[in-house]
Amino acid sequence: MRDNPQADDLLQIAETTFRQEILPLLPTDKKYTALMIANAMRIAARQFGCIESNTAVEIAALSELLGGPAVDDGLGALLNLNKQFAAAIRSGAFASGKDAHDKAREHLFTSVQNRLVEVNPKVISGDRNDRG
Amino acid sequence: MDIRPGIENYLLDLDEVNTVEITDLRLLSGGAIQQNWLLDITVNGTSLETVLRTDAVSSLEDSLSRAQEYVIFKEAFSAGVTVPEPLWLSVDSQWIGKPFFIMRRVAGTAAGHKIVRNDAMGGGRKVLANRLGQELAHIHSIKHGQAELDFLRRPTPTPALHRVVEYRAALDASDMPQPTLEWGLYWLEQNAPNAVSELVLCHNDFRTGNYMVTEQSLTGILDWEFAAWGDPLVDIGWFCAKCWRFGAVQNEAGGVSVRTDFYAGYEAVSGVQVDRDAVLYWEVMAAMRWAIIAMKQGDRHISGREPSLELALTRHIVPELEYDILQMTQEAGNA
Repeated sequence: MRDNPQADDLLQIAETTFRQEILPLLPTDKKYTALMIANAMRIAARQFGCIESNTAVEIAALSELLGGPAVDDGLGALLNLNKQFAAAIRSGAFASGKDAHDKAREHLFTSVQNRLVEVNPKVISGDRNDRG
Repeated sequence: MDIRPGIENYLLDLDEVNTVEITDLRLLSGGAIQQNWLLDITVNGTSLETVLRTDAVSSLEDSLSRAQEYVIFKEAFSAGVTVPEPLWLSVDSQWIGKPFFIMRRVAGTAAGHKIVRNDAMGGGRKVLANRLGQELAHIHSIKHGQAELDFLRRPTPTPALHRVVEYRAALDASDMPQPTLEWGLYWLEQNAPNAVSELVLCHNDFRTGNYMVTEQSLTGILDWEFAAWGDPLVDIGWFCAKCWRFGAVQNEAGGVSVRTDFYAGYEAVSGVQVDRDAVLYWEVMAAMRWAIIAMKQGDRHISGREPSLELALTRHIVPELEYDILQMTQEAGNA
């Protein structure tokens, strides 16, 4: 068992310290790079906190959509299920009017929202980040 | 590599040039695909403020060569589009190791996040949006069939389905499955509009961030490397897409103003009414295209070919675009 503080906590405090103490000292032409570094640390910290719970939930949801038994062997299973799901969408299996259409869309919304919680939660809260 | 001697030698080799002095030469920031150099020169005793444009290390397979881009600058300039005046082109790599062209430098900023926050830009939001609509109509006045632009890609079987096929191929070339993008592509395939009666010159990257503007006026439309023949609504959808409003989502015309200002400028010059409902289709396509580009850029980092923090972070823009795609296709129905 690891000692605390662990990855997410370490990244969070590193990012905060970087933003507060280093960023203001940098010349203007380095600020963009510095903000990217801080942003990458923030995403990584959020991902450390979320990954386990989301994987199991997504496997269960995809198994149900695709009509197969729920296999719980982690990321390998999730990748395979997503490949099957993607192929089924392309083939029209979830087209408008089909039984599972709404359920598939709901799953996609959930999956996207879960990833947004990690990479850009402001999109879901309706307060978008700048970009460019 | 010091490109200064190469530029001097190239200019001295031109018939009309007797004396050259480079007074400033600096690489400008930005430009993952192209490099832009600020270049101040005195030619035959006359000072010129210019930009030299050449290839960066990485290039996208579907972007135009500098020589082709130069021809488009010339054609656009002749058609009345506000573009920096193209001055010289070297297709030869002997001077600075790669082809380049030199154009007059225009004043202002292209920084999207600054433009959308400043009410005074371009003479005010309404004026700027209207002007951008006019500019786009001038671009679309260049119709398919012009011999000088023979090299431009012509989409088949239709502009919409051409993209669907292209983006599916991009998904197939990537290791990670993308169910939401597949969802969007299925919708784009099922709802694809018919071919247009006349293909026009599409800029294909006409958006805030790709034009120069001062507080007085728009000074230049930039970044023509994706230009191709297409459906005029492609550019309108790309300009209005939520992903190119730089956070100012309420200003649906490029984060600058309301759509009606932009459409009014376009309609006044083109004489063509913008089909409001049809634009939505091309906004879904815009989110899809940006998602595919972001995915490819991320893959360049992930594969180890080009380790880059910027490319790595660009990959994480994809979920936001997926969210837009799901919302828009739900709103439009028929998915």
